[in-house]
Amino acid sequence: MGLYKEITTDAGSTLSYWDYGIVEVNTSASTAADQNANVNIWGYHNVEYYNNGAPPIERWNSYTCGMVSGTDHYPYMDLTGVSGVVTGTKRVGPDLPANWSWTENSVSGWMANSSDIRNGAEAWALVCVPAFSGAVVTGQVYPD
Amino acid sequence: MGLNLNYTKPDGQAANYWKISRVEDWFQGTDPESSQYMANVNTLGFTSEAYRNAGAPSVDGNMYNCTYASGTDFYPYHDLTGVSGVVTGSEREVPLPDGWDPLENGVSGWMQRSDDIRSGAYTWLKVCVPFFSGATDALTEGE
Repeated sequence: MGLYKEITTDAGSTLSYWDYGIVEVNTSASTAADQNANVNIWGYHNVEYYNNGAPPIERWNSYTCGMVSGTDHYPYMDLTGVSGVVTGTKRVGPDLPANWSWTENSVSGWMANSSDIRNGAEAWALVCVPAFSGAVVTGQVYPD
Repeated sequence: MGLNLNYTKPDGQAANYWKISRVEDWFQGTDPESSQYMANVNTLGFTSEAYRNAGAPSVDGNMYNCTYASGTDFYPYHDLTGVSGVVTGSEREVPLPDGWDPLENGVSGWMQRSDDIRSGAYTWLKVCVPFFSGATDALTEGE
């Protein structure tokens, strides 16, 4: 699996292919609600560079997801006081996919529903991490 | 889940209950057969399960590495070269369980055969890491 999305870093490097470097499943806390995974996604110039063994340019893009409830990295807008709304929030960014379940798309969901946690992490990253909004999946399914 | 294993540190502190605290799954490069595809399995030892559940800090910890496509065995092997009737080869200090398959018990095997990679990691720890030899499952429901 990999993600295609062109991103230019502050240093001016253009990266178009992204893949997992490390998924750190942290279970130190005694309650599952306090456990999580850090998903580190590394960026390469393109898939050819990656396949040729070139080092990543962006090495530590790290995003955290909860063990029993997926984490949404999109901002939410406070709707309190908006006409016709007493209180509440609205997601700033694309709507969540139909039937999106935070439980299913948490780390425990990845483990229960996939033969490789990277597959679940990919689904989560596409929906919950703004940097990967609109990224195109290569179509390759782990284990590769 | 956890493991019950009685261990007394050199300083006299006892750690009888062990949990996996962190599994670091590395996918560096393009070749799952390479040693850059692997997991670091970090465990923490607590005085007892009750202490752990109460939030007490760990008294000991350790880390072991397992490769992605083929499980790593930390047991020593004896060289059998020259032993009567044996031309060459090696023998594991402690026999592996019947049907044990290093491929199935590599990190990729944990991912494919368990709904929680830690379940596979605990199995691997008990068989492949001498420190956890003889440990028994502590089957606390959930994490």
